[in-house]
Amino acid sequence: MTEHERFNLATAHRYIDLYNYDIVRFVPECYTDDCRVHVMGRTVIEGPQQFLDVERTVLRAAPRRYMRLDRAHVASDVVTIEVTLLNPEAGSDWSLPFVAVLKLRDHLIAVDRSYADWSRWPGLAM
Amino acid sequence: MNERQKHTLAVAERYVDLYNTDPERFVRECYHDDYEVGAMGIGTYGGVDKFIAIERAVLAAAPKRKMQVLNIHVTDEVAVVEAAVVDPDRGADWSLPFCAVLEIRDDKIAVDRTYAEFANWPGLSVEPPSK
Repeated sequence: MTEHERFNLATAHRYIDLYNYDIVRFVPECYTDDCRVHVMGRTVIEGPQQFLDVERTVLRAAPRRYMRLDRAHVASDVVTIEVTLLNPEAGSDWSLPFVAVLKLRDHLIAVDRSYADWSRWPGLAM
Repeated sequence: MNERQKHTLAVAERYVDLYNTDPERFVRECYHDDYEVGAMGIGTYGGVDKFIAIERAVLAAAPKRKMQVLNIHVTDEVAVVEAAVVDPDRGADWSLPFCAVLEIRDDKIAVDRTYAEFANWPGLSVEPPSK
């Protein structure tokens, strides 16, 4: 792994940490100002403010939700993370696996294409 | 891209080509006999005959279904295939995006973890998660 890829992998770890602990910092510290988040098959979220609004809605629906990083694969400017979303309030055995393909620019996420069974994602009514 | 990554990419490209042209060769030529496929959130399965039966069922339900590739990303041992299933019989604009994370061993797929809204996958009878 190159030094450049190590920095990109570090962004993916920051993505997990901040998603779990500080959603207000999550968006500006992980994503570019012109980010595009593709909820694959459903919609596209444009820019940090819209993304933060969506994440606040999710957090209201599932205040204890958190992510567990299962695997990460780094290919130059693209980091693919395999993740499990957990939500203790939905039951200790509730889980929702998803994958996020993150295209980075200057070690921030410029494009996020995520794939999941969105019908089960808390707070997303699409 | 190094030589190993070129091999990984070639496996991913064969996966796409044979899915679209010959489901039986797709399974036999792309996957190890002891492969494991995870339809993430639904379950896992193994066994060549079972996989071929599943793909035949899909093809029977959606004879014109094709995989359209959006991107392929490779590391030395993993190919990430971003793609969509399209099915003209469901409409020209119908598509189901999915992402397959393929772990490659000796130029074949050893582990396949695919992420999608499987309830919408043509021909798959999906048991909904209990919660």
